[in-house]
Amino acid sequence: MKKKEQEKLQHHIEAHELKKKKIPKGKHLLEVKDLKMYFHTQDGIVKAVDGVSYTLDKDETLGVVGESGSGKSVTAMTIMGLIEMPPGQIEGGDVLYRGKSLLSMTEKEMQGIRGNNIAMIFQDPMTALNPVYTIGRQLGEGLRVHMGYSRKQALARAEELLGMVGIPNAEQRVKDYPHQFSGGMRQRAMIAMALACDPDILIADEPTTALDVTIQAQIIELMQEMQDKNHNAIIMITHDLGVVADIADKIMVMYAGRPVEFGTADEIFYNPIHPYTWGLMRSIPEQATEEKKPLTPISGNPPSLVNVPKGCSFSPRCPYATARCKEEEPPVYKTESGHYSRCFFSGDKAFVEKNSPRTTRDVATGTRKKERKPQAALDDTTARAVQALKESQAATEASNTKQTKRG
Amino acid sequence: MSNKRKVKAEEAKATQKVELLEDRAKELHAEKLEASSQVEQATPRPSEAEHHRDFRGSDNAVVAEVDHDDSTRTLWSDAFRRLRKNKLAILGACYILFIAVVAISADLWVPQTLGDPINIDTTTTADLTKLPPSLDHPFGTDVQGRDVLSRVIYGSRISLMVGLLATAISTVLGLIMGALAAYYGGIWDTIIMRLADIFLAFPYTLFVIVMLAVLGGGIQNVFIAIGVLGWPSIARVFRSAIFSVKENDYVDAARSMGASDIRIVARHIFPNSVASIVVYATMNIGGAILTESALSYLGMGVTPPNPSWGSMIQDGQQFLATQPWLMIMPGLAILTTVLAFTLLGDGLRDALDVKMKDA
Amino acid sequence: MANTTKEQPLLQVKHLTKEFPVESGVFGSRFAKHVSAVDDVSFNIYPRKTFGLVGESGCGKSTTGRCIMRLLRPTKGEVIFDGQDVAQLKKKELKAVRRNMQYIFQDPYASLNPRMTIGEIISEPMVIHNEGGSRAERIESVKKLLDVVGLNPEHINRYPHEFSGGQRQRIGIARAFALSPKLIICDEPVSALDVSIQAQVLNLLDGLQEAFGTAYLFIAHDLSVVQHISDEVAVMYLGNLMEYSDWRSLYAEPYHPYTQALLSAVPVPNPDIQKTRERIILAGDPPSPINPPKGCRFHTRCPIATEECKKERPPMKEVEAGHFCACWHAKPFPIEGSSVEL
Repeated sequence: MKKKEQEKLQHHIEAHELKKKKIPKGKHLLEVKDLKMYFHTQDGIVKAVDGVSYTLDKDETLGVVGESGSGKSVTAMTIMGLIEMPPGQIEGGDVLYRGKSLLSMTEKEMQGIRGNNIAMIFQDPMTALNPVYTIGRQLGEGLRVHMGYSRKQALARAEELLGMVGIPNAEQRVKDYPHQFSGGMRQRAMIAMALACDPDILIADEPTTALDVTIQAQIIELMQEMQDKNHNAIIMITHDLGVVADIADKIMVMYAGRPVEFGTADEIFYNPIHPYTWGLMRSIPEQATEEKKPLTPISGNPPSLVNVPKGCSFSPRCPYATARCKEEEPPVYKTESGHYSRCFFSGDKAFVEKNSPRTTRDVATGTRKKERKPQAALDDTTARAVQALKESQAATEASNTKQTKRG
Repeated sequence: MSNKRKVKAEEAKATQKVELLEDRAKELHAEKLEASSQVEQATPRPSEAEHHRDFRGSDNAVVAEVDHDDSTRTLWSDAFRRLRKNKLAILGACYILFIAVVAISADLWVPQTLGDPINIDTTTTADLTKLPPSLDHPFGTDVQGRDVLSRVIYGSRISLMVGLLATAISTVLGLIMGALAAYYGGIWDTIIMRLADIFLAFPYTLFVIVMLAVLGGGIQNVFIAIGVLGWPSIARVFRSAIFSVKENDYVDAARSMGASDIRIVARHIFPNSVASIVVYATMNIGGAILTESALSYLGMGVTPPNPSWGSMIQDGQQFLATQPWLMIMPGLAILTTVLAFTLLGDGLRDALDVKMKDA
Repeated sequence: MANTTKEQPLLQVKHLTKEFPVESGVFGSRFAKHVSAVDDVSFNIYPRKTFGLVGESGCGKSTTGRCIMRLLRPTKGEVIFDGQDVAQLKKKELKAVRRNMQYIFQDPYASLNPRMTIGEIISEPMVIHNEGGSRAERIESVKKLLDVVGLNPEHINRYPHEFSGGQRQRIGIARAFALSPKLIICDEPVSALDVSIQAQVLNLLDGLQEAFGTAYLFIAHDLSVVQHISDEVAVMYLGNLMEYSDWRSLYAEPYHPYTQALLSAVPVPNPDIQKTRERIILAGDPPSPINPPKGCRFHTRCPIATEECKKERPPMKEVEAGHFCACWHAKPFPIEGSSVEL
C-alpha cells in the first residue's frame, strides 16, 4: 500500500529534488533555445512560436511584450506543457529547466513540475478560479498534491498565504468562494496560489489586463515584493510596455510568433534597435503636461499567423522596409551584451540614431522632455477626401431642402 | 417639370456621379502606385513627421479574404457558400432532395414499374406474397403481395408532408408567441413562457395521442396535432435568441441613431435571431417525422391500407424472424430521412453563424 | 469655466443622477435597493472640443454617456443639448436630437450588425433621417466616408466579420460621422484594440474632429489616452465627479487625492522614471455602489481622509481658475503624508 503511494508520488518527489539541486555550471535556471511551436490546422500551419530564445535566472524578471496573436502566451503555455498536441507540435528547439529538458519529460513528470517548480497566473482571475470550491481549498490543492499536506495543514498554510498577499482577515476569507472576492482580491488569491509551493519560476500571463489601474499598481507591487522574499524568477507577459518598465530586467518584444528584439530593460527602453519596438513606443500616448506629442501608429494590421509575410514579417507595416526586407528573412543581429534584433538595419548605427524614438533619462524633473508637435497639416489626399465628402453632404442637403420646399 | 424630363435630368446626374467616382478611383490608384514606388526606392524614410500627416492611416487589408464577386453577395449566399463546404450537410440535403423528387413524381412511374402500393391484385397475390428482395422487387414484397419499395415511396409522401406542414404550423405559432413574449415582456412574457412550460411538462407523444383522440384520426389531424403541440420549444428558442440579440451594442447603436422600434426589430433583431429558428425548424422536421411514424405504428395516424412507414413497421414486425425486410426497409427509410434532416440542420447552424470565419 | 471664450456650451449636464433598481426577489420592488450609478454630475461640453471622462470600471462613466444619449432615462437632472432638455423629450423630438448626437461603442464586434453590409451599416443614419438624397447618392457618400476613415471604398458590400477589430472601429466611426453630427459620444472606443491600432484610431478621431468640427465626449479608463485626445478632463469615482479642469492643469497639478493616485498608478514606459517617481498606491477596492460610503465617496480609500470627509460630501469648488475639485483637503500634488503604501 505504502509502496504504491510512493510510486504515485514519485514524480512529485523527483520534481522536489530537482528544485533543490544546484544549477549545473554554465546552465541557467531556464533556458529556451530556438523554440518552435506550430499548430497544424485546416487552414494551414500556424507558426505560433517561431524561434524564441532566452535565458532566465533566479531573481530575474523577463518581460514578454507583444500585441494579441504575437505568440507570447503560447510560448509560456509551451514551457508549461499545456498545449494540446495535436494540433500543436514542437518543430524544434528545447526548453531546459536547471539543465533538464522539459520537452522530453512525460506528462506525469510535467505534473510534478507544474505548480511546484513553475507556476502560472492567468489574465482572468474569475475563470481561473473554480467557482464551486472555497478559496482556501483551491489554495491548498497544490500543497496537498505536491507536498502531501493534510487537509488541515493545507488550510493553515492557505491562511498564511492569503495574509501574505495582503488580504485582510485571512482566517475568515479562506472560507469564502471566488465570487465573494473582488477582482483585485481574486488576482491576489491567484498569486498566493501560484506561490504556494514556492516555485522557481512564476509565469504571469497578462495578470493585470483585466484590472483597474489602481488595482494594477497594487498587484505589480505585490509581485515585486513576493520576488524580493522568495527570489523566484518571473516571466511577465503583457501588451503594455509601461507594466514591464519598473519590474522587468530583460524584455523580449514579439511580433507574429517571433522575438524581434531582446535585451535588458535599459537597452529596450533607451536604445531600441528594431523598428517594431520603435512603433510600439510611438503608439503609446505619453503623459505630457505642456504640449501633446503626436502619436505615430504602426500602419496596417498584424499578419495572420497562417500567412506570415515573406522576408521580415514586419516588413509590410514597416516604414523603413526595403525590397530586400520583403524577400529575405533578416538574420539575428546580436551585440556583445546579448541584445539581439531581427532587422537588417539594427547594426547600422546612423540609421538607428536617426530613426529611433528618444526616451530621455531625465529623472530630475520627473517628466520626459517634449518634442514639439509638428504642424498638424492634413495630408493632401486626406484633405481632398474630406473636402469631397463635405461637398457631397452639402449638395444633398441643399437638394433636400429644395425638395421639401417644392413638396 | 414633366416626368420624362425629370428622369432625363436624373440620368444625367447619375452619369456625372459615376464619372466623378471613376476619377476619384483613378486618383486613388495613382496615389497608391506612387506610394508603392516610394517604398521600393528603398531608402529608409527619415522624418517622423512625414508618416503621421495622414491621420487616416489607411487600413485596407481585408482580414478574411474570400474569393467572391462583391456586388452579388448577400447574407444567404454567404451562408450557402459555407454550407457547400460541409460535406455531411450537403449529403443530407441531396438525400432530402432525392426523396422529395421521388415522392413528388411517384404517381408518374411507381405504380407502373413497381406495382400498386395500396390495392391488392387478387389474381397474383398468392405467388407474390412475402418475396425477398430481388431485381423485380428491390425491397421485396409484403404479406398481401404489394411491392415494399412502392409502399416506402408512397409512405415518404406522408412523412415529408407531415414533417413540413407540422413544422410550419409550430414554427409560425412559436415565432408569434416567442416574439410576443420577448417584445412585450413583463406579464406577457411570464404568461406565455409558463404556458410553454406546462406544454413541455406533458409527455409529448401522449399529448399528441390525447389530442388525436379528441380531434379524431386522419392525416390532417395528425399534422395539426403535431404542429400545434410543437410551438413551445420554438417559442423558447426564438425568445432567448431575441433576448441575446437585444443585448448587442448594434441595437443600442440603432436606437442612438433615432431608429424606430419597427426598424430595430425588422433590420436588427429579426435577421439576427431568425437563423437559430431556421436551424431548429430543420431539425424539428425530423422530429415530426418520428412522431408521425410512432403514431402510425400505434395505429393513430395514417389508416390502412394507405402506406406509412410507421404502420409498415407495425405490419412487418411479426415477420421479423422470417422476412426481416418487411420491417427493416421502412425502418431504414425513417432512419436515413431523420438523419438527413439532422445533418442538414447541423450544417445550417454552422453556415448561418456569421462569427465563424470562412474555414 | 475652463473655456475662456464666451462661447455657449453645446451640451450642459446639470445634476445628472441615475439609479438602477436592484431586484431583490421575494419582496418585489417595494423593498428594492438602488444602485446609484451616477450621482449629481454636472459639466459642459463646448463645440469642437473634446471632453474626457475618465474613471475606473463601475464608476458610472458609461452610464453618464448613455444617459446623455437617452439610451437610459436619467432619474434626475437635466441634459441640455442645443437648448433642449434631452432627459424630458418625447420620442419624436428625440429623433431630431439624435441626428446631431452619435455614439461610438467600445466593442467593435458587438456594435456592428453582422447581417448588414458595411454600406448598409454606414448609410443607416441617412436612411433613418431620410437624408443623403437618393440611393445612388447615399452609396456615393458612404464610399467617400470609407475613404475618409481610411478604408477601401470598394469594400462597401462586405460584411463586418471580414474586418479586423481596428477596421471595424473605423466603420463604427464612419457611421457616427455619416450625418456630420455636432456631438459624438465615444465610449471607450480604443480600449478593445491593440496598442498600435489604438494609436491609428486616436489619430483618426483627432483628424476627423479637426476636419468636421465635431465635439467629443470621450469616455475611457486609460488616463494617457484621455489626456492625448481631450481639451478638458473630468475624473469620476463611484458615480461622483471628483475633479474637472482643462487637461494641462489636471495632469500637471491634480488637486484631488484620487486623481493623484490614478495618475501615479499609470505605469510610465520609462524605467528610470517609473522606478523613482513619487507614487500613491491606493489600498483596497472601490466600495459597492449599492451602498456607497456616506460623505465623500472616496474616503474609504483616501490616504488623507479625516472625520469631516466621512460626514459630509465635499462640494465642487474652484481651486484655480477653471480648475474644479470636490475635496475638503484639495492640495496640489504630492499630498504630504501620502507615502507609498500597500
